[in-house]
Amino acid sequence: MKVNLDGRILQGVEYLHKVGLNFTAEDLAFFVDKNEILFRKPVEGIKSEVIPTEYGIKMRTVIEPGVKIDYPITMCFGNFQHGGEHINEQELIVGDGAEVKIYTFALIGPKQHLNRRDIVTVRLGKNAKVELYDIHYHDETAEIKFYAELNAYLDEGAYFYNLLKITDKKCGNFKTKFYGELGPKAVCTVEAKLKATEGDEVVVEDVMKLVGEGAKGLSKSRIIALDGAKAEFIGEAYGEAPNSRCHIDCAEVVKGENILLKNIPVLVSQNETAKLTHEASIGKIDKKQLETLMAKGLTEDEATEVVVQGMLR
Amino acid sequence: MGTLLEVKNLKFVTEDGIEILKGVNLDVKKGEIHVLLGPNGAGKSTLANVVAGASGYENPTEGEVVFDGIVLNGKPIYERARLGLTIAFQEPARFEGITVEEYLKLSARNNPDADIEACLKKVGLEPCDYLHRFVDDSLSGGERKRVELASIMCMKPKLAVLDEIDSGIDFVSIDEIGNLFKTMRDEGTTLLVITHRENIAKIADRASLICDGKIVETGDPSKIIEKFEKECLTCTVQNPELLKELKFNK
Repeated sequence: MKVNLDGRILQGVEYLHKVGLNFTAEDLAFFVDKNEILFRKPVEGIKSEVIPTEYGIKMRTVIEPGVKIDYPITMCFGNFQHGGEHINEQELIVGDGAEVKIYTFALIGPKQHLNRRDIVTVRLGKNAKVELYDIHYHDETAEIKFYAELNAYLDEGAYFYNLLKITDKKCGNFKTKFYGELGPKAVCTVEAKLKATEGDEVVVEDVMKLVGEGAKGLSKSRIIALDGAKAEFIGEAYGEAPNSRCHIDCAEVVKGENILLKNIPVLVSQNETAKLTHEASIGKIDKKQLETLMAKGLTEDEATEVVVQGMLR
Repeated sequence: MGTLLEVKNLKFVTEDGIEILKGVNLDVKKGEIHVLLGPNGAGKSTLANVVAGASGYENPTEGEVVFDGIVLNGKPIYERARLGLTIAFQEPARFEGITVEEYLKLSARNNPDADIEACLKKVGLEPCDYLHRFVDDSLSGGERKRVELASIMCMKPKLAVLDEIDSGIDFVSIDEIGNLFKTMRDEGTTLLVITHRENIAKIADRASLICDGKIVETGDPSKIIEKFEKECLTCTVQNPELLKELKFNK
């Protein structure tokens, strides 16, 4: 069924509601279906250039120093009528002391066959603060190969938070790589929450490079693997600067059979005062958690769902 | 008062062949606070788990657990909860991403009249400070146990087994907890309280003393406490460390 432009935006908004986000079409600042820009509105304090290419878009966004935007900027990068080869390249430059919260949505409509690459680079100036929420909704009838790369460069005292979330329907063949380079006293937290279902193959790779004195990084992943899913987490931390800290925390929970899970930590310290830690677990849901809930009258399946939903929140 | 819980000649042997319960007989009357007192290793928590039907404890080796006239042997923990029997574990689990409010609502799902804010206040936690908090590692041990007590109040079961819910909570608030138990009883929940603290036992209507997998006496709490102090605290059967010390002193 062919949908009109408004139809695609409305479908996108419907997907957002399905993942528990109550945004309306009016809240969106940007909406693109592969390389067809459906909607774009100016945001005060942000300069943005968008160039459609044969396979996607190139976008460069600049937030001037000191600009503080007190409402979330929402952008949708979808595939509703256009699939196939898809490449998005985005650069976000955030000036010294600027603050912004951005939601980007990767929404993939029904029956799309997709080989998509999103390459995003974020540069944060001194004491800049950015929260970037990357929320996916992949229709279960779509065939997806997706590579999402996020490179973040944090100057002195900058703060960066990133959340990647795919907790509804399917992930597909999904690989994500985060690379963070943290300057002095910069703080970076990246979280990934994914639910892999039958046929999904998921790879999450987080690399934190602590190059500035007193830099702090946290990588936290929660991966739920259901029947027939494969998931791999690679967490790397490089403590190069004095008094830098990084903690990698990954929990992979299994529910079902024919599941393959891997968890690979890499901690490399190049400074005696750097402290790097890693915490990993792979296995079924903790029996004690299930029993505590079952003592309230929940069945094992109900208790499992409660624990899983909590982890993926 | 009629009997709500009857434990008849209960034996429990582990997979390794260790006999932990050696023929427990116990009755808990409707509307009472019944304290089960005993030294470490006496079988208190095992008895609690068998009564509640925790995983691996649903089927005792011998004997019966009868609740409100129904034989519970073989019934899983959630079925027992739906019949009105629940347990607060010694170390209640913690949950990522679940708020205190959600946890209490889950507990109250079969009790539509539950006032979750009132339950929180009763355990000494201000709703505005706690409802939005996660039931995870950010709560202290004492706070987590208070939340667990609030969750039991939200459930309003016929019988709650409280397994050392008082441990890990500072001594000043032990009296508060005693008063809380009385409130729970007055609101219609019978309590089987497992503890090794005598001051908790003082608030009971009746008490039982368990030793080496058997109930050795049931009756007035003050007498049971006296017996516990006289016999259990110096007993070398349940306290091998003390036995070593005595031998050394000889």
